[in-house]
Amino acid sequence: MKKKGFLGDLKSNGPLLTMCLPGLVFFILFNYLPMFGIVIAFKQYKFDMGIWGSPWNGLSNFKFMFSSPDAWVITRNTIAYNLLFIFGGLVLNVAMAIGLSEIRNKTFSKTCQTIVIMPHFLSYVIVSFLVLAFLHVENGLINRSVLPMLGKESVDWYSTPSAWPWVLIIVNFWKTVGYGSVVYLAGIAGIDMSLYEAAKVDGANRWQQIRYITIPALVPLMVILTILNVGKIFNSDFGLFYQVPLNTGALYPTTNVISTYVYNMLMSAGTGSVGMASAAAFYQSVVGFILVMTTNLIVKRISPENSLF
Amino acid sequence: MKKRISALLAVAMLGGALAGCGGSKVATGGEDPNTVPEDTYEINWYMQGMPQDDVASVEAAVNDYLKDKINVTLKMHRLESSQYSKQLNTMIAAGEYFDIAWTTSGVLDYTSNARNGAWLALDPYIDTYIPQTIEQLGEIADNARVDGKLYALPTLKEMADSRGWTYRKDIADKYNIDMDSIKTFEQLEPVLKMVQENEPDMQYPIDWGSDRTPASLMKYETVAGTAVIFYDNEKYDGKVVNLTETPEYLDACKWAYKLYSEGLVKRDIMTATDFEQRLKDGKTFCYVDFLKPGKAKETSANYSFELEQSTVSDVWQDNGAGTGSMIAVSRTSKNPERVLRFIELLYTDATLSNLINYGIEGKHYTKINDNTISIPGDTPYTLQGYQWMQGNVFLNYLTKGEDPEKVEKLKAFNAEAKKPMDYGFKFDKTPVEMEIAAVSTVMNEYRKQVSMGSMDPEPIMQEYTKKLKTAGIDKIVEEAQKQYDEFLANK
Repeated sequence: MKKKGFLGDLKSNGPLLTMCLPGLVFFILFNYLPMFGIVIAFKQYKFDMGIWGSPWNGLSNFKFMFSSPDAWVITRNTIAYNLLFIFGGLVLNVAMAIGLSEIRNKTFSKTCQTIVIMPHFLSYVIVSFLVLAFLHVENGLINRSVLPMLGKESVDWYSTPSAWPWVLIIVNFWKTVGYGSVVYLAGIAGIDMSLYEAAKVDGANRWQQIRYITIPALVPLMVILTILNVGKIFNSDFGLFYQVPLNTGALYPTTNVISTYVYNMLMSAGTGSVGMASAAAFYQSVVGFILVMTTNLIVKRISPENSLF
Repeated sequence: MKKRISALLAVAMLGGALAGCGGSKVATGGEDPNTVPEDTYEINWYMQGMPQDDVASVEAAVNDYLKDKINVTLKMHRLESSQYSKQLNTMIAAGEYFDIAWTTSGVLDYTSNARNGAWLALDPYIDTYIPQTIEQLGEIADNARVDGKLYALPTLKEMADSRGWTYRKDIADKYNIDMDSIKTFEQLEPVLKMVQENEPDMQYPIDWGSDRTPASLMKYETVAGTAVIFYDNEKYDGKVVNLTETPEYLDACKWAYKLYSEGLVKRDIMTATDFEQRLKDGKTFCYVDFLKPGKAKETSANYSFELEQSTVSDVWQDNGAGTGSMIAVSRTSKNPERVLRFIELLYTDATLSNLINYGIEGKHYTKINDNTISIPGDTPYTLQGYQWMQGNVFLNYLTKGEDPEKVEKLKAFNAEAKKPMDYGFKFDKTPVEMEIAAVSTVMNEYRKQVSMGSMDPEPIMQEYTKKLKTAGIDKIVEEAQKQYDEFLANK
């Protein structure tokens, strides 16, 4: 093949490249341009001096993150919740997609799909009040109806950190599973129907069809989505961890993650520091990058055709 | 080719980044304060508080009034307290343009924003543009100085405070309760129980929000984090102490827990955020409050019942006097001279001050006599209740029902106030900045747990103290004590 150079490339793929343009502009503006902000992590940022004019202060912005007595708790919470969400989500999303696709009645299937996707469109502020309606110490559904029915004492949920892993897990899956299953539904729709017909002829039952056709066909999708999610393992869903527990101090042992910790630190009086926030964000990105590369490397070793790059 | 393109891109990006964050230099002395300028300047003023329906007509009236004086137009941005700090913090960090913002030692953290260069240093402008304001503020202006420079102007108002009870007058009269004789929670408790028993509508006779808890009855000065200096307690004279290790604080927290356990305060006190609404609904008999003369009357001006107040602590004018409410000029202001001329009028011109605080006569309020007005309950504009947040409250009309001698009483209150022996002491946080940041995250987690009463404070206080120590509270106390001793020695 003749080499055409960059301009030749441009000419021959013009329409396709034009289609990439909006996306490219978006990434440059919102993902690449802000990278210069990383320097703030190494500076004592002063508003009137600007980014370049502010004095350097070495690694002391990072020191704050690691010298804090909560460093262990927030790192543990962040990673544990996200691992649970990624792998629990994987199982539930695929199960939901398969379940929905197996419903033969079209109307019923569509209704179910709408119902499970709906929570995705609620903002976490609203969700937090729905949760409050369940867990309110006096008027919440659980303390008012459920616990008395079981003959149990009412519980002050917002002072009981041990209950919150469950609350957060339930809320998270309630909100994300429906939407997360959409991609897999599309994947299932793309599977060649003749495979199922052949399987039926060979006498495979429903379960065997799912096990030997549907799931293997979805594996590449699962791998890609998981790699991408692992990269975000340090970026928790801020709304979930901040809004849903109503930012209650008593619940921090089980609800505080890196993002909420940094946010609370910035918002509390006397500590507002853009530098420390940048340091935390920088740390999050670096760890995220390493995780994506590692996961991809592992996948590449095990099954090269499924790796991302 | 590729290389050249990417180099170009990099340059473009750098340019963008620089343009977004370049510092702007301000020239001073550009305007003669005695002439009416020819160009009109719009002042964007960010205020915290309930948005008002009819801001537009007040702005129009202000613009008319100021046209021939300093030729400015005013734009008031009113933001609710839940949004105010967040929005302003973002604007400041992004270097966005605005002219005036409200700031206090706690809200929009005045000191660190001043150090980080968010506010305009006012000293070069004082003699030319705001001489009368500074003269009126007197030594209070010095309280607002950070590292020797003035970055904001305190509201001219009462400068001291005392702690005590605010309570419903009708209920106190009905049961013949003499609140003036009640000085402790021990004495208050039986009263609360009696009210709860006899008033079926008042199941929770005492109430508090995240401040105004039983611990708020104590008067102390916060140096940094939980390092405090007590005023009303000789035991701690000359000492900086860690609040969580004092028996006094634990005792107050235990009272909160006791009242909570006895069902005298709302069960969801920890998560509820509508303290003011609850108050207005009249579901509670009394609460701990920060008092000044006429405070209860001011609070209940629009309520269907009357509040009364009773002082427990002494009246103190502390090191925070004045910094509880200030207005600052942003470094991003395009015309600080004009903004300061406006502020000078705000502090000295009664017409302007009343216009901004009460709106337009006949439309938003009616005059009863020369100096007293009546505000209809459904007025579309009033900053009554927010007067303390800007300008000079002594210029403003009195409202119906207010003590005609309010101004004199406030001035007397200021004069009577005791000053602590460390008056003028300012803690330099720089040596322990990292510790303060760590301590304040610990406080975020525990402060409400111990003080709100819904949990037994004793075990939590131990854990709290332990974590504070890990975060470095001892180092802060030690540094504060060192600076404090030096200050007292040099005084």
